[in-house]
Amino acid sequence: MPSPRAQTGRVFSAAALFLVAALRAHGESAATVGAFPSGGGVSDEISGDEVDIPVGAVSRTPSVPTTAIDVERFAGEQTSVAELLAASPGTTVRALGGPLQTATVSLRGASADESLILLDGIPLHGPGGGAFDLSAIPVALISRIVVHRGVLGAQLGAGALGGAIEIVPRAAQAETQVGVRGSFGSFQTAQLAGELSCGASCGALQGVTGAIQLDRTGGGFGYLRSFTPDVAGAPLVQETRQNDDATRLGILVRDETEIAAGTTLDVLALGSLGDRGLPGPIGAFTLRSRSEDQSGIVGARVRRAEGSAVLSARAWAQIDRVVLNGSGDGFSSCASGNDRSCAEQETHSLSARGEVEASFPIGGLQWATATLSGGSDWFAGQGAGVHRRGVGSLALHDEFTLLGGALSLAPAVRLDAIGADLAASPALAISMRPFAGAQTRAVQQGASGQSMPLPASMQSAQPALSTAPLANADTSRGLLELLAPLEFRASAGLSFRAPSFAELYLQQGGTSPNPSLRPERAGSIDVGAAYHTARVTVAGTLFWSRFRDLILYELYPPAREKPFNIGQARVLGAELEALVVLPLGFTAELSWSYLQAIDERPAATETGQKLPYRPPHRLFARAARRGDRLEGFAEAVFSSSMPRNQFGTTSLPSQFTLSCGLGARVVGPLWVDLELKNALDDQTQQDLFQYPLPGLSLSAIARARF
Amino acid sequence: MTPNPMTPKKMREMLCVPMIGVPMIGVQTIVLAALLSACSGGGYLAPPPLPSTTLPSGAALKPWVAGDQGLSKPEGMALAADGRAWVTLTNLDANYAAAGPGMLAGVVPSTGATTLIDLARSDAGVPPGSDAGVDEHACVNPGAVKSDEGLLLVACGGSYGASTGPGRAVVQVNPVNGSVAHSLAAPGGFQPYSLAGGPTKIWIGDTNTASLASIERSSFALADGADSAHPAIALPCTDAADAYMYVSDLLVDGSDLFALCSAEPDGYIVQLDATTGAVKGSAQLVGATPVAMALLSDGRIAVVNSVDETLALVTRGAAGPTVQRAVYTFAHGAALQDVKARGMFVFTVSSGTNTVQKLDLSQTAQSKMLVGEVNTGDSSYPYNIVPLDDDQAIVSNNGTGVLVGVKFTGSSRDGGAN
Repeated sequence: MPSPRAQTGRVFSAAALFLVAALRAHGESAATVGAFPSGGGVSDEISGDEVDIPVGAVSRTPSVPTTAIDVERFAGEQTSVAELLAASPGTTVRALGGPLQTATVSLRGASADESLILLDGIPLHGPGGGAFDLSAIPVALISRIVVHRGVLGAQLGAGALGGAIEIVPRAAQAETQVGVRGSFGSFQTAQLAGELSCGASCGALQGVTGAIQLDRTGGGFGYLRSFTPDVAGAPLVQETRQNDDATRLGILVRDETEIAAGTTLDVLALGSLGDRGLPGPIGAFTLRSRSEDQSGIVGARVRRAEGSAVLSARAWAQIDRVVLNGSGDGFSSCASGNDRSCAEQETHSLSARGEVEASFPIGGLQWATATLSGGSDWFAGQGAGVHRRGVGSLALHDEFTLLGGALSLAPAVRLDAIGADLAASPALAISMRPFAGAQTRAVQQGASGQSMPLPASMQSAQPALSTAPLANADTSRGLLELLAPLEFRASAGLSFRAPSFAELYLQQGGTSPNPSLRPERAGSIDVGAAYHTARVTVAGTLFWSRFRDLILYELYPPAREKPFNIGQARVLGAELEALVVLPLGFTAELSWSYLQAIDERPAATETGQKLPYRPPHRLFARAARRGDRLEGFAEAVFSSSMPRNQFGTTSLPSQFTLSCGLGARVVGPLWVDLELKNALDDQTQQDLFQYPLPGLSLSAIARARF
Repeated sequence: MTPNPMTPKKMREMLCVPMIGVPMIGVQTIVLAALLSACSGGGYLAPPPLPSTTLPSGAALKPWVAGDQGLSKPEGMALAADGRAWVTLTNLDANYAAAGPGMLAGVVPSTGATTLIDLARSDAGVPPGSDAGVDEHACVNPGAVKSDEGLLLVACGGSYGASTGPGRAVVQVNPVNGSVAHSLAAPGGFQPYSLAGGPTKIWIGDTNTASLASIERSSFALADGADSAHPAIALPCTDAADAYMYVSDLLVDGSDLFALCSAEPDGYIVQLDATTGAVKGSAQLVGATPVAMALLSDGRIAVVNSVDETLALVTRGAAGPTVQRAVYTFAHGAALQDVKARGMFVFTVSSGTNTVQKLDLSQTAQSKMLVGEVNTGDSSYPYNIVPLDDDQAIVSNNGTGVLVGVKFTGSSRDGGAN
């Protein structure tokens, strides 16, 4: 008899395939006129690759600091979503151990709970609505990661207090492609992945994309620890991590079909199954604790052009199940072997939404978008009961251009109702390209055939040098053209995050809920400049954020913690990123983040102290080459020493990690790569809560696409 | 938590008097050795404690429902004049729900001989072994235990998470015959967490507020907090951060009563009159979540702060205390739980790193304070410590339900166990 886990997985897969088949059957009878690329409306700033501008998909985050990370650039590497995010400034990844263990991301000093993770526009949440575990999204299923920074509730929805990370799933290519990939490496870590993109040669299946990835790690990496940490110079002892094995399977099916003239249907289904050991922190090992999770997302979106306007409607649902085994409670007494403490703790959540959106030009210089959405969230957990809350929102975005397209203003406001919490999130973004020439004030031919101005957010995304060659310019014109891609921008926003179900109701693992929590609130301002050409991209931003009513967990005697709305903080920061495309297929990139995250809670021991686990400086540097025969990379990540508590009494030492890899196309489309991570074999590195990180690891990767 | 009864000063006060009432129950050697050592001023060497003594659990803890597995989860520990270490056993199950009555175990450190007392026996006059008149819910989830004039005082907190409920009480135990001498239910809404015996009153600190109740010694009846005419004493602890605050420890020394208002982030110490409860001066910040304090031989008080992982020193004064904060900072993740003193040595417990430390506070430089550190084992979660002499101590491990003997000989792994 199949296990409940296997049954759930089959349900997801079957549902996804059924949905695709049903919608395809309808689509095949429709005329094929025009196409609306998918993409969910992301801004593209730094990706190192040519960017396709989606027609009719106006960015929701114009003039907002954004970094796009093209997954294909890392094809020869054994990587994860969390590791890819290191390339973006403003990100701090917190990983509880080695491969496939929980990893969350913090943006601009906000907590992981305060950053939205969007999959094709669908917000993803962790168990009970908390921080999303990035390890649940296999890299093979996605094509790009876009990091939006700032308080972006008006643009992307409540909860985006530090920003949002948009995960763009794979989409069909013009040509049919089949890709396979396998890897094996240290800690018995292995991966098998396959992808299929149906182009014109697929006939009726044109537009279908499928991807699957299976990961497995045996765990057991070595690390160094001290048994007497107060004793200066006490010997470090070599230990081996236990109960950190993990297995994960991810499946993506996507279909884009034109079901009628000017009408496109985009269907997406994603399932993810995982099972892993929960090893616990150093000294408090939980050798019998395990986690199983299953999640599924199904969404469908219809877009239609009506004159110059674009109308869309979408619906989606997300379901999750998480089971913790042997996690014990409080002081993890499961380790003592008591049976009751090792009982299962199971939570379920379900979200369903419907959304309609209209995007239309006003007067030739203005684009407006109105979005109305509504739905419901359900949550059930042992000891927490069953809870439901309705959600709804009304968002209005506008973007208008002045001064011949050199100046863009993008006001936005969104009203969110989440259960009993109702709040407005306003925002304003401004961008100016003072040296932009006529060549950048492009006029885009819409799907309807009418001429309409391209929103400034799209203009700024264009690789300007592709339309403004320097070689034949005279001096003054050359200077203007050289400066044409220069953009100045500023934005500001206010928003909130409603308490999660887990914070409100879930009693688990030594934590108690607090049903009387209020929403967290935040506001931010940033100013910056960007210079973007086909070969050079440089962007810098200064920002300031303030947080109020932060939900913090406090000791609740004798051995529990409970959340309260007691935190306040301000964050001042700077972000710098640069990418240069060099000859012979080389690229060099650099990102630097500076954070001054200050605790403003009115408490004598905390006020003025730095917030913990936010490195003041983080530097990412990478040089890579992609070629027809050879490829390779070298990458360095540095995090400066950071406080480990909010009182300034202890700190985590600075950490430096060097990784590198080399690969070659050995025959036909077959590439073989070797990769070293943490090449300096630093086995003293730790992340949150005294979780050790792996030392040196070696992987061999083989891949082919044809 | 307990003002250590075995500091030289206290030991002399306690033992250099006629031995009336001092129990002689198989630990005569310990008592006599301690007496001779203390009275002569020489360095006392306690008999080596056992490396490990498993505390009772399960059926031995008299579960209310047959088959339930109450865990010992030791929470408080005090050394009595008879040389036994008395440990409160919370008798909670793995989910921190009470599985049976609160229990008190008396352990001879060198032999492991264990005496078990059912704290729920409201049985002044009820002979041990008899269940007549027993309310097995009278004491639930005991925490702090203090030696007090030859007896033991225990704070029973009742079930967690409930605003009211049975089992919240203060229990006075006679360790000589293993009986409950007095048991008194806490005033309504009051959840005893800490306690200390004063000259005329027994002071009780609350789990949910920064307030004190008291019991008259003479009648063992409620005094402060008894009713609206005799309200509990609100401690003047600033709560600017709107934090949850409780009274984590109480200490009486002479005419002074000291109370720790514990909160994350700001915790305070308050000096009061030990007889009347009148506040002396103002509350003084000691650190984040102070959890325990101990009296040094120079009259100062060492306070450990669990969350900011520091030790503070408090000097009393006629106009209230003054505080030297962060005199010593522990390793990250210490999660300090207890401090006891012996002379100018303090013995601290870090449940987060599963270690115990011995510090010499006669040193002024932090780098010279650490004398030794001992690891009690992964997932042991040490919770309390009692020094037996200057180099040996016993530690109660909340995670594993055992007492371990440790010897401070500098840095040592896995217990420095004897």
